[in-house]
Order: sequence, then C-alpha cells, then structure tokens
Amino acid sequence: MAVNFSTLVYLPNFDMFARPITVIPLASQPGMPSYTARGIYDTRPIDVQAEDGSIVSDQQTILDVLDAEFSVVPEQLDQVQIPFDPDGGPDLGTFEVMNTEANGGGETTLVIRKVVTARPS
Amino acid sequence: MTVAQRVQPPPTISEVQSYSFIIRDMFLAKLVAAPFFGSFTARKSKALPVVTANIPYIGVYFVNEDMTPDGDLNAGEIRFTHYLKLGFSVIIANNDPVASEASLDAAFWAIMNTLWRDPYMTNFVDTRAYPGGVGNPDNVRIEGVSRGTRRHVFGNAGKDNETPIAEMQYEATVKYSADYAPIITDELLQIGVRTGVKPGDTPDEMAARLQTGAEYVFEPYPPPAPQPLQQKE
Repeated sequence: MAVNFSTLVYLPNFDMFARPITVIPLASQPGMPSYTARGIYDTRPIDVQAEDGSIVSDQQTILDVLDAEFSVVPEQLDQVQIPFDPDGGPDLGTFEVMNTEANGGGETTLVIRKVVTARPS
Repeated sequence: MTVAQRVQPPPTISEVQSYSFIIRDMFLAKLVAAPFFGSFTARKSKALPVVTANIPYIGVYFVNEDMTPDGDLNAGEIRFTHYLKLGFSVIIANNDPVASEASLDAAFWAIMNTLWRDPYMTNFVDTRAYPGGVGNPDNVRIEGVSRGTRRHVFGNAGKDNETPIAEMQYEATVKYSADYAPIITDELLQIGVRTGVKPGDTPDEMAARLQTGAEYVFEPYPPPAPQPLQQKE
C-alpha cells in the first residue's frame, strides 16, 4: 500500500513545527507580489575552511516547505522573510534562497542565506 | 668589594623572533594602515575561528617556510636562503556574487600595491622612510617574492553556509637570506709570546741571552648586537 508522505507524514509535522513566512518570488514568479506561506526553520553550526586551514564559524540554515501548499515552489534567488511569531520565535530577518532540494515525497528544502549589508560597503 | 654588574642592552626583536615572524608582522602592520583595510578586523593567527562579526576580515598567516643552502653548504658558516610562504586571507560579505568577487579583487590589488610598491619596506639596503627615519624592525630585509598564488572561494564547498561570505586567498613566497655564524663562548682574547727559551738550556744560559716578548689582545667577538636603526642626521 502506497503512503502519501505529504499528507500523512509531513502535514502533521508542519502543523506542529512550521512558522509563518513571507516569500518574495523574485526568481520563481518575477513581477508577482510577495505572499505568505509557512515553513520549518532549522539551523546548525558549520565551519567553513578558509586560508591554510583557518576556520570561519557560520551557520547552515534551511527552511522546509510543503510543496502542496505552493502553486510555484520557491526557487534559487527568491527571498524569504521570517518574521516574529509568538510560537515560532523572534524575527529572523530576510534570507535569499541559494538552493532547493526536493525529497520526492512532497517536501522541498530551501537552503537559505541571510541578506546582509555588504561588508565592506 | 662591589662588583659592578655588566649592563646588557635590551634584546632587539631579531634576537628573540625569527626574521620570518618579523616580516609577517610588518606586512600586516603595513596593510592595516592602508585605507582600503581601515574597516577590517585584522589578525595574524589562524588559531581563533573567524566569526561573522569579524567580517570584513584580513588575516596574514605564517603558512610554512623552506630553507635551502646559501652557497656551498659545506664551506664556511651555515647560511640559508629562506622561502617564507605567507597566507593572506581577506573575507567579505556580500549577497551579490559579482560585486563580491569585485571586492575580493580590489582587496588583492590593495595588497599588491601596498606591499610590493613600498619603496622602503622592500629596499634591499636601507628600509628607513622619511620623515621619521623609521624602517623595518632591525632593518630586516627581503630579497624578493619568488611565487604567488591567488584564489577566490565562496563559502564552504556546498555553498550552504548562512552568511554570504567570500574569501580571497593569496599566498606569497618571500625570499630572504640569513647566516648563522657560530657563537664562540671560549674566546681567544690574548696571546703572550716570549723568545729565548731553548730546549736544554740552563736558567743561567737563558738569562745570559737577550729576551723579547709581545702581548696580543683581541676584541671580543661577536661585536655588540645590532641596534635598531637611528634617525639619520
């Protein structure tokens, strides 16, 4: 018997863990207005190797979205805002989608990168 | 009786640190003073991880050092040609990859034009700059740069780190020479020479012969340690 992962597995998880987001579809739907959606935010530490073994300490941050909740799933170079949410936590700022990875079961992982002021400006 | 203590001058930097460390430090000091790197966090050790708050960042690191004989290795004192590889790490943050790479290139160009065009720091004879007459510490000099490699790196291999960092990695191999003359602790400071002693002579026979002698006194070696360059008159 086939299992509908999107409905039976992911949906209950999104109902529990997802927080509101705003998608700015700069690449996936150019010219279209931003829209609200939801996603599961997760971040973990990552070391980036730099010159001669030196280390830049950073985070690896992803946002999982449920494909069924989007007419067009966000793509690379779209932007995502993660605002304050009483259940989800503080305003996390604006991110740029760097990569998307679909798992074949109805969920797409957005690899996101913070939108920052250029340094040096 | 009171014996006066011999007063030793304080050691100069090159008595304590290697020329390679001195060169690394003077390169970093020169870059930190350059306008381009005014807003950068600067470090010379890669021991601490760079955190995002440190960006923009410049590091000048000791990578490694090769030494080959300077001249015949088995003739005379020990002498080396040193090939010091220094690593320059410039890390910036920018969401625009094109602008990011342009910024890295500008940083590389600032390094090239700040260090290698400096007519004093790269002087092979006298590194003092005027006004002020300040030169490299102990007049440490480089002979040239034998090799350089540059690369641009955008985050980790998967490019999935959160901060839009980009790094310019530049490695330059600096050549300089140094000799390591032996340190003589049992110095020959005096020689006494006398004539008239002949094997088999009796004391009376020796006393009847005209005698002469000489004392040779030598200056201690090595001469006093070099002092930092003073301002020219």
